[in-house]
Amino acid sequence: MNELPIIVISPLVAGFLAWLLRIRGVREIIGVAGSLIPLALLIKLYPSLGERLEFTINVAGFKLGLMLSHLTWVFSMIAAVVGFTAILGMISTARDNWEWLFALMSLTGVLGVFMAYDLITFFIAWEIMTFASFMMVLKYNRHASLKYFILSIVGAYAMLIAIGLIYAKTGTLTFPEVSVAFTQDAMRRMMGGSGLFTKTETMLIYGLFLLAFGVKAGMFPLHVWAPDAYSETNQSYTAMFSGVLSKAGVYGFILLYILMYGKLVVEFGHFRSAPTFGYIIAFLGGLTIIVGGILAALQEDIRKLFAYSSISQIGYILVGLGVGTALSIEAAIYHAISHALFKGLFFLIVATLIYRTGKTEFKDFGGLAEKMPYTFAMAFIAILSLAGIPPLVGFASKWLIFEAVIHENLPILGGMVFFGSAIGFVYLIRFTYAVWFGQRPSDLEGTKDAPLPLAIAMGILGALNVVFGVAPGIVAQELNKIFDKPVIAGNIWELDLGFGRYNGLLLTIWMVIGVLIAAIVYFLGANVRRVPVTDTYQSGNPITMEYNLTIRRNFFLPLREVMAFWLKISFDRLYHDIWKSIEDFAETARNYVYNGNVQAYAWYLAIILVILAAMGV
Amino acid sequence: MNQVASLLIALPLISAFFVPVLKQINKSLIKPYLVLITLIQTGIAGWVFKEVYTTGKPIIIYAGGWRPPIGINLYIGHFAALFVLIIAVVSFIMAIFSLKAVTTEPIDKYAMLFLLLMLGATGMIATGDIFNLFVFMEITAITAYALTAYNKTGEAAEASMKYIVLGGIGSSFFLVGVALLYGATGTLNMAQLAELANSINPIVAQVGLALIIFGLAVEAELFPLNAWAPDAYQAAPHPITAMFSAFVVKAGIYALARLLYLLQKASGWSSILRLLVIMATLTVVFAELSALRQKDVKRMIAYSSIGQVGLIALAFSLGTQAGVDAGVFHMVNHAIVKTLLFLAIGYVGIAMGGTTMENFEGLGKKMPLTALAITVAGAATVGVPLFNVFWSKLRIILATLQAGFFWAAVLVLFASVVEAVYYFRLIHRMWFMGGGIRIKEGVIAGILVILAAIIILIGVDPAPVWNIVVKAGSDIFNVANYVKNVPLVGVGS
Repeated sequence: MNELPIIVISPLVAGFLAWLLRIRGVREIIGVAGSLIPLALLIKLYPSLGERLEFTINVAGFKLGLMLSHLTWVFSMIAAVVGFTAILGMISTARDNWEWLFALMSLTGVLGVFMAYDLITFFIAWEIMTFASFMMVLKYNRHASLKYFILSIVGAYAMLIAIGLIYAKTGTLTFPEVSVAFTQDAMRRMMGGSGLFTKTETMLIYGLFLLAFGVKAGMFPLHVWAPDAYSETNQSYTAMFSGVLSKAGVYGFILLYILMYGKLVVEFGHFRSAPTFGYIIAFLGGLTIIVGGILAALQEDIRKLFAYSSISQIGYILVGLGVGTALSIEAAIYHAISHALFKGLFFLIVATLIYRTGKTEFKDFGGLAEKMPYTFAMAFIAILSLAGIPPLVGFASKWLIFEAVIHENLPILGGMVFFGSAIGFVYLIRFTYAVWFGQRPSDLEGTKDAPLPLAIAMGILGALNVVFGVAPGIVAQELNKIFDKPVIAGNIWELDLGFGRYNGLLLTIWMVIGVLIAAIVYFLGANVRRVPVTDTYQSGNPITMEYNLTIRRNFFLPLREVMAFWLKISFDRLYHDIWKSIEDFAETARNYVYNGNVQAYAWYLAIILVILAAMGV
Repeated sequence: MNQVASLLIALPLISAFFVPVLKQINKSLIKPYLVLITLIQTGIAGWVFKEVYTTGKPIIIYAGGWRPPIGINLYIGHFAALFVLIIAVVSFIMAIFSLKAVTTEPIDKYAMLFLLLMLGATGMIATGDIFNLFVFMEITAITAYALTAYNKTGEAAEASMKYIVLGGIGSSFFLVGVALLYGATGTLNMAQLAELANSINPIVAQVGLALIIFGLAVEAELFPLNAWAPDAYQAAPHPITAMFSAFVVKAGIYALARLLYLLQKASGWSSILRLLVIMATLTVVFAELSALRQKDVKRMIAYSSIGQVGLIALAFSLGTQAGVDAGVFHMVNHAIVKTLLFLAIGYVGIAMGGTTMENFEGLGKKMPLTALAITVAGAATVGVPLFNVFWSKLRIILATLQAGFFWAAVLVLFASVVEAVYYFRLIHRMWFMGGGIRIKEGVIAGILVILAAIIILIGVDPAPVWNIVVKAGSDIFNVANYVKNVPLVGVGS
C-alpha cells in the first residue's frame, strides 16, 4: 500500500520545498498542494478500508509501519481537512518561509501519529509534531514556546519510558502484538497467575501514558502550556494546532484502550459503572471542562479566550472516553470531529479579525458584523455549533455525550458536563456581542471582509459544520464501523439511541419554518426604532473608570472577584517554580562539583578509588 | 597489501618529526602541510575501512614481524576501521580550520602536537597490546596537555595544569593495573589476556580491572573524574577542542569498553559494571545541569559534550549487545554533531571576537549559514527525529530499560529535557534577538553545511550507518571472535 507513506510524507516534502524556493506565489502553491495530497489520497482510499491497508518498512533494525483502519481513517481525515483549511488560511497570514516548513512538518507529524502501526513510528511522529509546532511558537514568544516544549518533552519522554518498559517485557513493538500480549497477561491474572507485568508496573505504565497524552490533549493539570502557545503563534496555524494536534492526545487515550484495556480492567477494576482507569481520565476531563470554561470567561484577549475554550472542549472528549462504553467512546470521537470543525473555524475567524484589524483584545473591537458580513455569518455558525444549538454539529456530539454519561448513571460527571455547557454560553456571549455588535470604534471603519483564501477555508469548515449537523447520521455510521455494530442506530438524518432520538432534518425543517414565520412578522409589522446612546447602568452601583463593566471590558470582573481564592491556585506558577528551583539547584551543583579547585578534583579521584577498594573487599 | 595499514601509525609519526625541517625551509608551509598529511591519512583510513568492511576480516599488523604475544600487534577490526576513518576526517577538517583559527606562535610546535594527538588516538584504537595502549594513551594525554595550554593565557595554563594532575594520577593507576595483570598472566597481549582472565587469582583480576577502568575513566571524562574537562575544552584552541570532543575522549571510552569486555571473565565484573552505570548516569545529569546557566557558549557545548559522552559510557556499561551497538552508534553520531558545533562556535569566535552569549545574538542575520548549522546540530543533540542522534538515543534508552536500569533511563531523560532548554535558548538568541549585517562566510561555512546535511541524511535514513555500527559493535562485544582472529603463538602459559 504505497499511498500510506505518501500521505504522511507529502506535507513535509512540500514544506521543505516551499522553504527552499522562497518565491512568493510558488511557495503558497506548493504548500497548499502538500496539504491537499493527503486529503485526496485519504478520500481515494476510503472504499478499500475493509481490507487491511498496511505499509511496513525496516529501518535500522526497527520494523516501522503505517496502517489505515476505520478509526485511524476518521482521525486522519480530521487532520487532513482541518490541516488543509489551516494551510489555506496561512496563505494570507503566514509571514515567512519557516512558517510554511514547520506548519507542514507538524501536519506530517500528526498524520504519522494517527496512522502509526507500531510504538516507534508513533513516538517518532509524536516528536516531529511537537518539534514543528514548537518552532511555530518560538518566533513569537520564547517563554510560551519553551513552556510548551518542556511540558511536551516531559510527556514524550514519559511515553518513551513506557514504550521501553513494554518492549523490555514483551519484546515487541507493533500495536497488534502488544495488544495481544496485554490481553494474554490479563487472562493469566484472571486465572490467578502472576502475569508479565505486576500491578505497580501496570500502574506506572498507565501513569506515564496518562502524563504523555494528557499534556498533548491539554488535560488539567497539564494544560498550562495551551493558552500561551495557542495565542502566541500564527492564528491560522492555531486552527490546526488546537483543532488537530490536541486530537493526537485524544487518539493516544483511545490507543490506551486498544492496547491495555483488558489488563487495566483486571488490575484496577471498576468504579461505579466505568472502569477505574477510565474514571480517572473522565474526572480529570471534567475538571478540565470547569477550569477551562471559567478561565475562558475571564479573558480579555480573543485568542486566549478561545485557547481556554479549546481546553474546556477537550475535557468533554475526555469525559466521553473515560466512561468507557461503546456509545460514550463514539460520542467522544464525534465530539473530537465537531470540535476540530468548529474550533478550526473559530481560529480562522480570529486569524481574519487580527489580519484585518490588527487588534486582539475585546476592548478594541465592536460592530464588525456590518463591515465583515461573510466572516460574521461564519462566526454565527461557529458560535451556534460550540454552544450546542441544533441543527449544527456541536449539538449532535454534545447531546451524544450527555446521553452516554446519563445512561451510565454518573451524576458527578454529568454535572460537570452540564456546567461546561452553561459556561460555554457565557463566554460565547462575550465574543458574539463584543466583536460583532454594538458601537464600532472609529479606527475600525475601514475594515474589509476576509481575504479570499481565508474565506474559502472558513467556508469549507462552516459548510461541514452545517452538513454534519443536519445529517448527523453520516458521521455516526462511520463511527459505527469502528465498533462493527450499530451503536448509534438510525439513518443519515437521525441518531437513534434507543432511549433517545435526534432527527437533524426534522429539526432543521422546523427551524426554517420558524425563521420564515418570524421573517413574515418582521416584514409585516416590526419597525426599526432609533434609540439614542445612553449611559449604561449597573443596578445602583456608581460608574467609575475603575469599575466600568461593559461587554467589551471587564465584563466578568465580578466573577473574577468571586473566584479570587480559586484563581490563586495556579499550576502554571507551580511548574514555573519547580523549573526555577531545578535551575537554581543546577547552578549550586555546578558551583560545588566543578568548583575550579584541582585539589578537590584530585580528592574525587581518591574517593572513587576508595569505593573501588570497598567493592573489592 | 594490508601492511599499508601500518602507515596509519607511521605517517603521522614521521610527518610530525619532519615539521622542524619544514620550518627551516619556509614557515608558511607548515599549515598547508598539515592539511596535506591529514588528507593522506584520510585516504589511507578510507582504504582500510573499505578493506575491512568488504572482506569482513580484521587487518592485523605485526610490529617488527614478531608474532603475538611475543611482539606487539595492531588489530584493525570493524570498530577500529570505522573510528580511524572518523579520526582522520575530523583531523582533516580541523587542519583546514587551523589555517584560519590558529595564529599563536610557535606554529611548528602546534603542527607537531596536532599530528601526534591524531597519532595517539589512532594508536589507542588500533592496538592489540595493553602496554602499547598505555603508550599511545600517554602520547595522546601529553600532547593534549600541551595543546590545552597552547593559547598561552593564564586560563589555558591553569586548565592544562588541572588536566596534568588528574591525567597523571589516572595514568599511574592504569599502569599499576596493567602491571598487576602482567604479573598474574605473564602476557601483555589483549587477546591472550581475555583467554587467561578467568584462570588467574580472582582478587588480582578484580583489582587489576578496577584500576585499569579507573585510569581510563579519567581520560573518558566520567563523573567525578571529568572535572578537568570543561576548563580544558574552553581554554584549548578551537580546532583542538573539536578534536578532544570528537575523538580523544572517544578513544578513552573505546579503550574502556574494549578492556571491560575483554576481561569480562574476571570476578566482580558485574559490580564494576554497576558502578560504571552509576558514574555514567551521574556524568550525564551533572554535565547537563551545569550547562544550564553558562554564559559562554563554548563552555556550554563542552558540558553538553561531556554529557553525551556519559550517555555513550552508559550504553557500554549495560553489558548487553544492544547496549554496545547503541553506544557505538552514538559515538559516530556524536562525533559528527560535536565536530560541527565546535567548528561553528570556533568560527563565530574568530569572526565575532569571542564565544560568549552576546556574540551569538543576531547570528541568524550576520552569519545565517553558520546559525543554520548550529540550529541543526542543536536540534539533533536534543534528540528530535529526522536528525541522527534521535536513533542512537532511542536505542540507548531502550537498551537501558531492557537491561533493567529504570532509574538510569529516567535520569538521563530528565537531563535531556534540561538539554533541550539551553539549546533552544541559544537557538532563540541566534535568530530572534539582536541583528546585524551579513558577513561573508567562507569555506568553513561550506563544511558546516555539508556536516549538517550528513546529520539530516543519517537521521532520515539511518540504515546504512546502522549496519556498519552493528558490525563494529559485535567487534567489541563478541570477545570470542576477537580472540579467534589473533594468531597467538603458543608461548608457555
